[in-house]
Amino acid sequence: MKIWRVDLSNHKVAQEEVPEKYQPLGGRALTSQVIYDEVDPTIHPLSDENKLVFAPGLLSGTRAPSSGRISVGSVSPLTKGIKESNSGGTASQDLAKLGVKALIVEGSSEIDNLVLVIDKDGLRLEKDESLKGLGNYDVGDKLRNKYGDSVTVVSIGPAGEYKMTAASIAVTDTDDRPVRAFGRGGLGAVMGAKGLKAIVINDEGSSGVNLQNEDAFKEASRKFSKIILGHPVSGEALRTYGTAVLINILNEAGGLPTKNFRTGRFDTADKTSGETMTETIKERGGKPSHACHPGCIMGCSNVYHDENGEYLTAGLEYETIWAFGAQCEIDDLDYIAYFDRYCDDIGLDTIETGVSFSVYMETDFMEFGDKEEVKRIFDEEIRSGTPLGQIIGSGADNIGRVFGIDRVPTVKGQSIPAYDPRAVKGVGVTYATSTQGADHTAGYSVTANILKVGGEIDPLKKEGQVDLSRDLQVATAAIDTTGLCLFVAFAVLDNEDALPSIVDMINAQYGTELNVDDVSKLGKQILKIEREFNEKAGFTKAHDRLPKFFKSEKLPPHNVNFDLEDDKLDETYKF
Amino acid sequence: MAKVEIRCFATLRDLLPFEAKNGVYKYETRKTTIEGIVEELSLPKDKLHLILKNGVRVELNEPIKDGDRIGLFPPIGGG
Repeated sequence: MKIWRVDLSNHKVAQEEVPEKYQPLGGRALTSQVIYDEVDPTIHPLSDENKLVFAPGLLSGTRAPSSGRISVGSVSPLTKGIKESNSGGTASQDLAKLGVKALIVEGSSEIDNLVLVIDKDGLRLEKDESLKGLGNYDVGDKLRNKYGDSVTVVSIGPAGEYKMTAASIAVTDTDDRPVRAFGRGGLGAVMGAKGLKAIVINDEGSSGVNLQNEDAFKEASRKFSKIILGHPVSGEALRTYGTAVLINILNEAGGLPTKNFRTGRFDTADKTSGETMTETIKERGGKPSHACHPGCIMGCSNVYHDENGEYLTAGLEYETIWAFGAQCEIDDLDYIAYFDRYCDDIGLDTIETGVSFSVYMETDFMEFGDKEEVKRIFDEEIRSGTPLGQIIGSGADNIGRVFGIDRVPTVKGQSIPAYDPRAVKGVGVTYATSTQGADHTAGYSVTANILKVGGEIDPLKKEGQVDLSRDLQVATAAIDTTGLCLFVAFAVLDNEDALPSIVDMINAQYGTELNVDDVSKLGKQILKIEREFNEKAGFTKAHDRLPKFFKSEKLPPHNVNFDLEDDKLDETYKF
Repeated sequence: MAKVEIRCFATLRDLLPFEAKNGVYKYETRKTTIEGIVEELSLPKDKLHLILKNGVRVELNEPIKDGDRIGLFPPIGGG
């Protein structure tokens, strides 16, 4: 494998040997290490000194089940700290098969609308003015016409070109739709600032991934598949209702943030639930289950049709439904699906954008629940980059600042997602302390707090939450290195044979002799360098806190506040 | 007699009596525990992974009183 590098300032491309210290790394471990090694933490994230580092996971490109996740690392314009954003879709498998250990995009071009083409012959830059201002759906259509039907397209929409701080980078899925994304942290704006509109990946004729011990790999991989499929969540529930099945359980548990975190229950939540969504999808001839990359065996994604039975969007997720739903007091699934489609096309993170709207609804310019106005702002303001569109697309923190609103649910500048930290305290610890800003996936304590997976810890009490979050943050950093979908964690947490099978697969592929203790060591190492980077960027303990209103305001129906003491939060990173 | 609200979710939804709407069944019962209700409504005990009473996770033998809201879930997950 090689490190492929493109310098956009002078349009140079290169393939480099992988330094020894990078050999055992992949995914998040590699992206964070390269950012740590090569980028000054004090730079402006949109300057030409910032980099985008794409790295497939260690197991990507193999037949390991659900191993198609890819990481991109950078300095985030949203959090101003180190960022690892993670996506499904077909990019990870393709890059791994082409022998790309990491793709480092650096510098910035004076010409916009560049396309980076990656294939078996290497990488080259092309210019395509016709892509200017196009949404991700059109960009994909044009590039497939030009480079072939089977290419993967990684692209930014107008939001990235406008350098909105909530801009995402889209990745096409198995149906060539731009519905998977490096969503969080505004890295679409970094790509836009560099003048790079799209990356086209063609794995035709690639040499594929080399396995040191094929038989051992096959055996470990078969064993791991069995464990995943044998778990009731990863083997059954995810494919039946998608991630949106969480709407009702969080609502029932009183932890579904509603009306910008005012209550933990949304009266009409069921209209937006996974059960209702699945029924609607079936009635209209969509797909209730869908795999975002080849080799996915969990199928949590979906294809959602409109009321005329025409394709509207795919990958309609719990977080998105919550962000535009309960958080904005909107209970119309068709509108929410439209907003999801719009975010995918224009290239915005659905979580950040939904929360942005909810903060805007705190002003005199807009009421909670006004779905028509959300639609109008998407169609008329964000699409064309008007000043209001630019503000809404720049994240909840910025909206609060511009309009003088102090009820802003963010940590380190990034919006808190779909679990209220007062009623799901373990994930509150993660929001507060993660190197990534508020991010549920960084340490998904919802497992033991709400879902009774990997043990049971009372979500309303503070006891045990710091240890839970720490353990999950370490484990997650390691899983983000493998390329495995994070949803394998449901099985990994409940089945003690799962982690050894992952280690066996890695050893069989690379000829290494890792053991399960090395996994935890790697997780800790990643968190350590990410944290060190953030410290150099100016982050202190004071940044590891939730907004004050979570302490001072009690959340109905349980009337609980976030009562973990500051010094307890500071223990999260003591390891 | 206690008037209770039984809320079944995901695959359990279809197992409630016909009168239930969107997985919510309100009725009066002489039973005194969630287990009693589950037996009365012939719900499959082995599928009940998460049991919530008024938003708090409880066990099957939890006592009930008038006005309680009971949520029943099979194993589920997402993110």
